[in-house]
Amino acid sequence: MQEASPAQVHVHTPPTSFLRKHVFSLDHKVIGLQYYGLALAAVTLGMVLSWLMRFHLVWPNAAIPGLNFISKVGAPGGVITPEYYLSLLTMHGTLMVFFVLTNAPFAAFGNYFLPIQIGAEDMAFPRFNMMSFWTTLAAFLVLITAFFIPDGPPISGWTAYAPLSAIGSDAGPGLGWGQNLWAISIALFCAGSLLGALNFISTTLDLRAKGMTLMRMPICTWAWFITSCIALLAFAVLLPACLLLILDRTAGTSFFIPSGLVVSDRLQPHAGGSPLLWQHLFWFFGHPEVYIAILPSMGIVSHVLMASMRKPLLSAKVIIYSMLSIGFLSYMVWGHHMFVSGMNPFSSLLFSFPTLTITIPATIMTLIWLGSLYGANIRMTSAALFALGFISMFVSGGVSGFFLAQPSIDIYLHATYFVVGHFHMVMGVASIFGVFAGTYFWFGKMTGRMLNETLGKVHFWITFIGTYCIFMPFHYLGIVGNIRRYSTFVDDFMGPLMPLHKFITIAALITGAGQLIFLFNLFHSRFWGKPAPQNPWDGTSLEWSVPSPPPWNNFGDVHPVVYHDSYQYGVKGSKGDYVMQDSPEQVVGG
Amino acid sequence: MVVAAFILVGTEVLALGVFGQKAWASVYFTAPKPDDLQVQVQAGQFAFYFRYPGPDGKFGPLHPDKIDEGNSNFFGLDPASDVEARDDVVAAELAVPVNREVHLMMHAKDVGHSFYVRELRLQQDFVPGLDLSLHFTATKPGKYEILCTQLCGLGHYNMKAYLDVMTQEDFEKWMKEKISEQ
Repeated sequence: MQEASPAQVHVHTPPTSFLRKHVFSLDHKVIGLQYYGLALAAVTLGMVLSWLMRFHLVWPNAAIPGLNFISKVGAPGGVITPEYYLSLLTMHGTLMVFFVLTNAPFAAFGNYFLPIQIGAEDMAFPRFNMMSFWTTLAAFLVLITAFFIPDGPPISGWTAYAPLSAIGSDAGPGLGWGQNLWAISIALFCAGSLLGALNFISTTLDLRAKGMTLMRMPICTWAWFITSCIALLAFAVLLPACLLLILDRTAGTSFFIPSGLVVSDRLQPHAGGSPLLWQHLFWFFGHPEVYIAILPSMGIVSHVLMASMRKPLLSAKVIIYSMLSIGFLSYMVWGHHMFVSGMNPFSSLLFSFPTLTITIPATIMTLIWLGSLYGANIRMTSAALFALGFISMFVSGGVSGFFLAQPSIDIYLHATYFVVGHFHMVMGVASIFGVFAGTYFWFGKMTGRMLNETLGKVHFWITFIGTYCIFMPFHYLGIVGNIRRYSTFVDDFMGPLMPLHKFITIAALITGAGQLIFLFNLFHSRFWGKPAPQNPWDGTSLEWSVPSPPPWNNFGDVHPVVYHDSYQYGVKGSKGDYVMQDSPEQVVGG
Repeated sequence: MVVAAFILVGTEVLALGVFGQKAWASVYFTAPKPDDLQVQVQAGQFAFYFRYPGPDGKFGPLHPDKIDEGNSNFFGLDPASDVEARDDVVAAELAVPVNREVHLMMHAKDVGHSFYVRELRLQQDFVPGLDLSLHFTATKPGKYEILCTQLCGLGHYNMKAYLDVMTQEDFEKWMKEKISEQ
């Protein structure tokens, strides 16, 4: 059992200058908040892009005021061109998957709470930590620049399949410097994430307080730890893939481009490359990436649920082992994105088995959550509502995965709205619900003021109903053969589906507007919210044993000692029905 | 309870996998019929073109550097020097006789595309640099949309052709017309 005293690893003095305290901070808490702020900016932009897309799909000839100032070429007179639609689509996906779903649940909350929950003063490598945030911010700025260059943002989707993404501007608008900026941005993002993952892993293994064994760590700590192990290998593959793409585009190499391609009447001077190689490299990263997006939210939801229902989960150990299996299996399934890609059909069959198998730990986790809820008396806070909403969304989005996992069904459903519905519900909604749950749960701890609970509940209901209205119809659209990534629907066949598309667009705009309530709540409560007590939710883990917000070195001059796990809810303790991890009171088990 | 869940989901997963592979095998691991109709399809930004071997039953070689859309030489054929290319039939729609197996030979001219026919449950990506095959037998006459389902550029949303499934006589009539047009 690791007994190293955290204090000896890296003593740093409290920051004094404004820059050191708020800008170039080495403090994991400030860095966590910076990641959260970045994710907030990215999700706002990503959502606006999605509104533009949804608007264009149902009113393709509408002139959107102001858009022609952002791009005279992409939206002349405010009317979105087909290529600009694809740019919006590409940037929407890129922003959301990378800068929101990897940043918010993992980098933001993980950075803030992992060290505190294990009883450490800070991360193992505070300087690397600061570097990883600033690298990620640089990646964001490089990406955004693509909006302002003459040729516009790339149009090849967040998946950037070669050779469309590799050939260069011959392949069409948006594929000149926009694609280069995309590749550079993602490469930077990979570098930042790798540093972050290294930090999380080292910190978890080396800096746990006395008595904090691995099995006593809260479930969300485990989720961040497993996520960083996944991230270390996944981003390590995407980074060279992006570099190879940049080389193909700028240095005349042919990793992904075969010979004999005639693009825009020009025979391309490349030979020997394989477009499927890009797909394999990308999805070898891409599938673990979606588990990077969901695992932290699963951890946060487990954490919030226990505090809300005042009892432990049926088996935290099984949850942890399930998360470990998901992490392990996530590396064996990437080919299910490539069932009809032209790869050997025998490979498709092989990939389908681990894909179906990964449903097993996910189902077990869901059954444990549901089983734990049975008979529970839940304190219905906004955080609890979002945690329960997560379970609903995870199930709704997850079951469509059972269909897509089978190659024979995927022949029909691949590239339709069915897939889009599936991944939006699990990533775009469920994962975000985990972020919302974490926000309502931990805002008080991070800022010293509580979020408004009434606004939180209104936010929940609008978002819950709204996202169901937006994304459930996608499954129906997919089954009838509505193809994705089309900027306009020109087939006569699509005519009868347009009223449904209009309904989805209006639901999206209303749900989007509902998020303003959340934004308002964040900013208003930051300055005028009710002062936060140290332990507003009667939680057991170590973040509730420090002030709100915690001092610069988390625990002051005290080195916390841990006596049991964080699941001591519903037991008789000096504080009521719970016993905190650092309380020396005797408990059964733990 | 966990053990029960494990067994239940595990069995269901195995069942899906085992039954599913039968469906998959019927598409990919079944030997083609000897008298299948050979058709080549080329996908390029933003149209599909189809080539039949013509009366000599042979496809002429392709020369990418000879592709000239303005003169309707979509495939890059060189009839002047290649004998087999002289009678190749090039069409913008895929005409096939009903109840006859079709061997579709797929290649991409520029970037990735995909071939998708909803009603026949067909989907297969084109991969530049790879010659891929798709086998199918249409059982109902009719006109079906062929859509591109792999993002290929700004015209992706409008990249389509038609699969025209005809009776054997109509198909022979269509072929005769096309040959005389060439």
